[in-house]
Formats: sequence, C-alpha cells, structure tokens
Amino acid sequence: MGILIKYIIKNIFEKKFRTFIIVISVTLSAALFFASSAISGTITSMYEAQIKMQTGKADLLINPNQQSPSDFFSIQQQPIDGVAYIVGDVSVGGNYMLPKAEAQASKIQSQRLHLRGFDLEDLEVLNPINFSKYAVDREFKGNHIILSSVFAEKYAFDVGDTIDIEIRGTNRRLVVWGIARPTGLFRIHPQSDSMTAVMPKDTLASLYNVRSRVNSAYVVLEEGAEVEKVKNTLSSLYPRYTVGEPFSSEELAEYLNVIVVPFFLMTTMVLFISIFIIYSTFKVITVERLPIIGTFRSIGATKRMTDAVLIGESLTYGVLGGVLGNLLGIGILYLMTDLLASDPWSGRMDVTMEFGLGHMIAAFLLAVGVAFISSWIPIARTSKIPIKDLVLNMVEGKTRKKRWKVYAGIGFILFSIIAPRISPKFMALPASTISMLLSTMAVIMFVPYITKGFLQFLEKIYESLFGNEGILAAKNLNDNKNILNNISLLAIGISALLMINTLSHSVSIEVLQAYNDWDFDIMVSVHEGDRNTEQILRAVEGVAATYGTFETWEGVKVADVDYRIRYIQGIDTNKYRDYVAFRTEGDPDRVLQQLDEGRNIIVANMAKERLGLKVGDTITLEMKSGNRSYHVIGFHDSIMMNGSNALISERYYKMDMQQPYFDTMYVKTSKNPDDVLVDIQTKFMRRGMWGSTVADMEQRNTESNNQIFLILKAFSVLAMLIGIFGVFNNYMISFIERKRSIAILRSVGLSKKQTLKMILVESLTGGLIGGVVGIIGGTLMLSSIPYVMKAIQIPIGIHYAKSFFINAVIGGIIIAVLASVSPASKTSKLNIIEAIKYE
Amino acid sequence: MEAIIETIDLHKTFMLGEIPVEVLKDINLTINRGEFVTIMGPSGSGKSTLLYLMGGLDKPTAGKINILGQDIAAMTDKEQSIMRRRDVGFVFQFYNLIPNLTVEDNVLLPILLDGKKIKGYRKKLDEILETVELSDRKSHTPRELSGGQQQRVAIARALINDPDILLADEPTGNLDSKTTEEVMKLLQKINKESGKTIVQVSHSKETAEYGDRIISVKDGRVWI
Repeated sequence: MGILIKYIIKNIFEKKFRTFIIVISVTLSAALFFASSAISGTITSMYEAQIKMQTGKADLLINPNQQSPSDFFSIQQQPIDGVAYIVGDVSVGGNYMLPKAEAQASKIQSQRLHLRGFDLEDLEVLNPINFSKYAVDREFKGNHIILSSVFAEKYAFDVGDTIDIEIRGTNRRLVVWGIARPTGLFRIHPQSDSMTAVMPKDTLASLYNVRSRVNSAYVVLEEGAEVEKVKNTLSSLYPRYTVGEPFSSEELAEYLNVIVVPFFLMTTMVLFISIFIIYSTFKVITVERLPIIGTFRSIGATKRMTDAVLIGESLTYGVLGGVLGNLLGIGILYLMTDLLASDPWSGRMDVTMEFGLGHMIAAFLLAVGVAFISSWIPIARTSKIPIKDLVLNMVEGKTRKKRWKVYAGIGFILFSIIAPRISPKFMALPASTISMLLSTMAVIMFVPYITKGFLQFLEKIYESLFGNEGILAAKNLNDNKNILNNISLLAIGISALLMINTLSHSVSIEVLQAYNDWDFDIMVSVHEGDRNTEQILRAVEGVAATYGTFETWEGVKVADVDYRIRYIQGIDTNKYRDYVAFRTEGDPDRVLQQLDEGRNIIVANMAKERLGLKVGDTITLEMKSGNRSYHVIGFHDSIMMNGSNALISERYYKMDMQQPYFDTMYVKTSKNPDDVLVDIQTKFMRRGMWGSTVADMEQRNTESNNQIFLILKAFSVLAMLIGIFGVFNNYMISFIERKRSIAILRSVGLSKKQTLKMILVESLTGGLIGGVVGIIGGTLMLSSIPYVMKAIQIPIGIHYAKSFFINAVIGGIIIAVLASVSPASKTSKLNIIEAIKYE
Repeated sequence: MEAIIETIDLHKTFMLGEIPVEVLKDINLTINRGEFVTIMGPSGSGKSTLLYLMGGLDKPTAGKINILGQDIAAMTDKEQSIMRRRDVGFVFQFYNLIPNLTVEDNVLLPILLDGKKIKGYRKKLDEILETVELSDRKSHTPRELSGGQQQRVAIARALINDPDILLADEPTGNLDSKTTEEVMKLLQKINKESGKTIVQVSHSKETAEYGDRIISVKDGRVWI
C-alpha cells in the first residue's frame, strides 16, 4: 500500500491551505470538546483540593446543624466499624489588635483570625502542617499558637515571640510556637479578611467552657470501608448533627452544569461549522479527483479501493486533528481552568488540571469521526459515478431541485420553535440544544432561497448603485455554490457570535436589574445581631436607615418533593418594600399585608413553575422546628438565587426557623458607602462581622459572570475564525473555478477595473447576505436560549442590543470583502489566453 | 484462431434528457488473439463507447460481450475490476496518469491494486520502462514529461500486469506527428513481439495503418 499512502500524503501536502483549513477545523473541534469534557472533572478536583486543604484526609465530617442542641459536641469513644480514627477541632474567631501606628496607616484596627484548636498529633495524621519554623524543644500546649508565615512576615513575628490576641472579648497573651507555610489549613484566601492560626485544642476548649467537646469532627475511614455504611452508622450515633462527605459532588454538579452546558453548546457550534467546512471542502476534493478516480478504476481499482483512498485522506486529517486537538485542548483547558480558578467570591484556587486517557481518546475519536462523517457524503456520491463518466471527465454538477430540503428546513424550524416550549422538564435541555442546532441547519438549507430573494431585490438597486458591473455581480452570485457556502459559513459564525454576545449582554442586564432591586447600599451581618445592634448600627455616621432581616441562604427543603427553595426571607411587611423591589400581579401592598395574616408564602415565579404551584395551594417546608405548611397567596418576579426564593412573614420565620437574631442588616447610607462600611467594621470588629457594599457585590458578580462569558466568547470567536478560514478558501476555489468564465468576459471587453469592481460587489453582497442570514440564525438560536437556561435553572430574559445586529452585518461584509482581495487581484492579472485554454 | 473479444447482439442506448439515443445497434464482431484492430468512425459514431464496453467501463443496454470467453456484462463490479487489472490494459488520449506520483509509481499501480508485492515486479518494471524508453525518467512525475513520454508511461502501466488485451482510446489524439509515429511503432512492436491483442480507437487513417484490421463504426452500426 506504499504508493497509495504516498498518494494520500502528496495530496495532503499539495494543497497546503486546504489541508490547514480541514486540520484546523478538526483540531479546534477536538480541542474544544476535550476542554469542555475535562473542565467538569478539573473544577471538581480543584474544589476537592481546595476543601482537602481544610479537611485533610477526612472521608466524612460531623458538623452541628440547625437542629443541633449545641454548636459543640463530644466525640464518642467506642470503636465504629470502618472508622480508622476521628479527630475533632474547636474553631473560633479571634482578633489581633494592630499596633497604633499600623492601625492608623491601614485604617484597620485589627486583623481577624480563624483560630483552629487541634491536638498537634491529630493534625499530623489528618492534615500535617508544613512548618517553616517551630520550637523543637517545647511541647505544643497551653498558650501556644502557630501562625501562618504570611501573618508572621506581615506583622514581624518569630518563634518565641509573644502576641496578644483577643478571644471571646478578652485579651490573651500567647507565645508563637511555630510558623507554617501557606498551604493546607494555612492557605491564604485573598478575598477573605481572615487568616488561620492553630492553637492547642484544650486551650481553646477551656476558654469557651467546652472541655472535651469539639465543633467539628473529621472521620478517616479504614481502607475498603463503605462510606455510605459508615455514614449511616455515624448518623445514628450523632442523630442531631450532620454527617456528610467533605465535598458535596451533587451540589457542585449543579454549579458545574451552569458552566459546562454553555461550553458544550459552543463546542457543538464549532463542530457544526467544522463539519460544514470539511463537507464542502471534500466536495471540491472529490470533484478535483474525479479523473484520477476514473484512472484508478480503469486500471482495475474497485469502488471500495477508490473510496478507501479518499477515506484514507479524510482519516489522516482526522488523526492529525485528533492529535493536535488533544495538545491544543490541554492548553485551552489550562486557560479555562486558570480563568475559572480566580473566582471573585472565594478567592483563587490552585490550578490543577484533571483529565485522563478517556478524555483524550474521546476527543481523538471525535476528530476522526468528524472528518469521516463530514467527508462521507461527497465520497459516497463520487462512488456512484459510472467509470466511463469519470474517465472522460463527463461529470457535470447536476443542479437538481431538492424539494426535500425545503420541507426538512420548515420541519426543523417548526421543531426548534415548538419543542423547547412543550418538552417535559427532564427533556428541556436536550430538546433546546437540538432545537438550536436544527434552527441553524434550517437556516443553511434556506440559504439558496434567501440569497435568491435578496439577489432579485439587489439586482434592481445595484444597477443604479454600481452600474452594469453590479448587475453582472448579482447574476454571478445566483446559484454560485462557493458563494452560497460562504454565506452559510458566515451565517453560522455570526449566529454563534451574536448568540453569545446577546446572552452575555442579557446576563449583565439581568445582574444589573437584580442589584437594582436592592434599594440599599450596604449588607452587614453581625454575630447575634438584634434590635440593639441595629440601634448601634444606626448610630454610625453616614448610616441613614437600616432593616434587619431574617433570611436563610442555605434554603429550605420542600417536604415530599425533590426541591429546595434556596432562599427564604421572613419579611417585615412594613419595611420590606423600602429596601427591596417587589413585583407581583395585583396590588403589592395587599399581597404583602396578607403575609402577616398567617403561615402564608409568596413564591418566586421560577420556583412556582418548578413546583407547579397556584394561588391557594399549600406547601410544606422542612424548617428547624419541624415540617410547617404554608398557604400560597401569590407569586413575585425575582431572580434572587436564580429564582429559587420565597417570602414569608417575619413573625412565622422567627418561630419556625427558631431564629432570634438577624441574619443580615440592610443599610442605607447618606455618604460614601465604602467609608461607612469601614466605620461599621471598626464598630463591630470585636463582635465578629461581615459586610459588603452592594456595589462591591455587584462588581464581583459581574466579574464572576464575565469569566465564564470570556471563555464562551473565545469559543464563539474560534467558531467564527474557522468560518473565516473557510470563507477565504471558498473565494480561492471560486476564483479557480471561474477563471475561464472571467477570461471569457475579459475577452469580450470587461476591463481589469470592471473585473475588480464586479468581484468586490459580489463579495460585498455575499457578506451582506451572510450577515443578515447570521442574524436570522442567531435570533432563532436565541429563541431557544431561555429554555436552555431554564433547564439549567438560570432563568434569564433575552435582551437584544441593536449594535450587535449592525456589527454582524458590517462584520460579514468586512470578512467577505477581505477574503476576496487576493482572488480579485489574481483575477485582474489573469492571462486571458491561458485561462480560456484551461480545462 | 482464438476469439479473445466477442460481442453478440450488442446494444447501447443513452438518455439525452428525456430522449433515448441508440448509440450502438446490434453489434456482432469478433477480435482474435494477437490482432491489432483499429476502430474508426466519425465523431459521435459510438466507437469509443464500443471500446469502453469491451473494457467493462460501461454496461451494455442489451447483448453480450465475451472477453476471454467470459461475459463481462454479467460480472460484478469486483470481477470487472479484477479483469481490468489482469486481462485488459487501457491507454487513453489524455494519458490519465496520476500527476503527483512518479513514473515508477504510476506504472506499478495495477500491481498494487492487485494486492501483489511490488518487489517481485522490479525487474519487469525495468524491462517495460526500457521498452518504452523511459528508464531514465523513472523518478520523474508526469508533470515533468512531454506528451509522448506521458503516453509511453500509460502504455507501460497498461503492460505491467501482462494483460492479453490492450485497449487504446485515441492514443495519439493529443500528440504531434513525430511522437504519434513513435507511439504507434511502440504499440506495433508490443503487438508483434509479445503477441498482445490491441484494439485502438482512432480518427486517423495513418495510425490505423499500423494495425492489421479496421472496423468502421457509423450510425451505431459496425462495417467490417
């Protein structure tokens, strides 16, 4: 087979640009598929690593919950099947009061410390500390403390120094026993204002009067032990505490869905463009090779053999693209991971990529599959041509009217409009995704008809705009397959770009709207905050008004239904509307008043749909005091926690959630919120508090969204980029194919200038139609987006920006005109006699 | 004399749009082993169609074509392919060489397609290239050869599997008179020295004179 392989390789290398386009299409498809499929595992492992920093080797954790009698509990000593050991810690807050000069300079009076009480021996086995220095000759006990090297360097502490730390409102003089490198427990979270320090467990326990008790227990299992079984045993031993794995893969999966689904959607778009490019390129390849295939057949090659040569070529592109795609995929995965690792909310995680041979093989097979499937139709068509026609090169492009395409196109559009709207919840995501793809396919199927319609119209105005060359250009475009391919490529690329940009724009607007719903400037959470705390808060200069809220961000499960309302607030009906926008059908005041009349609930529209509620229904919530039934009195329009929220009366919230203290306080300010926040922090530093301005929260939210959209935009730009390569290639092919007809036009008097003008008008028209068809495709795709977003539980409205549409058309024209520059210049230099002789 | 090609009541009809055009009508002819036959006729008379039917490149509408005693119209695509590899060699007007393969590779293609090891054919390749006087052009590609040289490569390719029959469709139609003479002499030599049966289609009486017999085709009928 040496000669055939040589033949395939020569073909591949002879047309370098064509090879480049096919290989880059396959490579990008494989790379994006690789990155999209590996990102989920990578983020999971990054989060896992992040959590492992805190929990070490622990397989299970025991923590107090809302139903626990106390935040502290004793570790039971009896041996438990499957448990190797259990380690407990006492975690509390503390403050290091800064020296005066430093406090004045930094405007902060103290540095918050997260004090972790551990026995050093326990930590050695659970989560060893990486010491840079420690007191070798002294046992870790009593008033000892281990600081992080970052803290020690910042405030100039060394082993043996004394340090004053305020714990539980009292100043304690401690001795620095060791300094730890910032890994594991001591890892620094840039967004957090707190640093970790470790003290002997007994010391902290005695300070809090909780001797021999802990507030977290870390359970390490014996090898081979069944996690579920041990979890059940521990749950029965600690019935009012939560026993769980340190890392909830279910919760993360829900979060990952939000990231991974859009990536896969974009990958599918890129795949779609690649298939289209490879398909159209192979159509050219097979047409070019017809005489050679004829020769092969005439000297005894069977159809299978000639097919094998062409398939061999397509598989070579697939293999090459598969290998390169894996390499590029690793790079893209790294960039994606790097971007997603810097979460503005939780700080930066260490970038570790998690992928296996499976991901690489899958991407490789996808590459080979894409190359094979895309090239199969042209190859199969060639295979059916009679040998004599091949030998004599008598194959003419038959332009059969393919009526089925019109019917299929109409069917696809109808499907893409109807399916997302009527599909059941579990089918919503696949139905919406398929709809997006089918609508794009439909648009491509309609390209010849849309183009024809445009040309009929343009021909009339081109005469006055561009003269006879304009009419010629419009006529040339009719049924020109390369131009139709270009319009399709531009349309898919522009659709993808338009979709992502509109989506990103919509999310920004929705985020903005969400924060606009909050009519206050600062959100503060003070430990055990009550009416007195609110009074103190109001006394801070610049605080104009406050509203203490009773709310849960952990959510409440709906009994007997697999759904958790992720945010519930017990509202003060007199004040709520002064701080948060409330949109409901009917009279908002009347609806809110009803809340206080009993166990009534107002549910957000998204949650209403998920639960299938109507006014008058009753839902049972699993609250701290037990299951409580609430009467649905209305619904409101809110995207807080992606629309999974509800409002009840403050009175019943306090009762049912057994919560005497405010969770947060909303603060309106009369001066710069940033300055007011600093004053509030100073005021409440000793009580332990958290606070943020709404502007800062909004910015972080926007940043967090921008990171995901940056990647998605990069995906869509890549899709467009392959499309552009395809357009450039098509213009070159078009030039080669039209050499003769252009030469004929030249021979009957078309000047060089007129030729250039004609070609430029052609490209301008192609770009214009491509842009418009792209807008149609993009709009059709966007019509499915709300259903995709709903399926991944992010209900957002689509907000269109006029500028995107204008840019799409201008972009299409620019790409098409630029792509035609080189063929146009070649055409003007055409040797008429040579070109006419050309067969 | 052994009949190597035999057509019996052969018909071929093409569709020109909706209209059927009978290109060959009731053709009955016999070509014997070792003959050098020229099929002549005006454009559109059906002479090339007849040649392609003999080589199994086209299928008859009715009738039989026996090649070496076997009805090729009844053969499967695979059987026909094998026949074209082993029993019939084709030479075309436009040479039909693979442009990006060397002379050597082009000539060896039928061997390769037949699944044979090229190694065993090196000597034969050298002999054939010497016959067609292209030994020094072995590693050139067709693009680097003249028309006459390309046609000689095509002849070498047709001969490499040692077929009994050589079918040539206007082998000199694209060549100047001097090269035409060279190529025709080569075909004549092949016919005389190795006893190959040669059937050529030609417009030219001069080239027909190199053969033993002329078969005229006119209006779809054969005039012997």
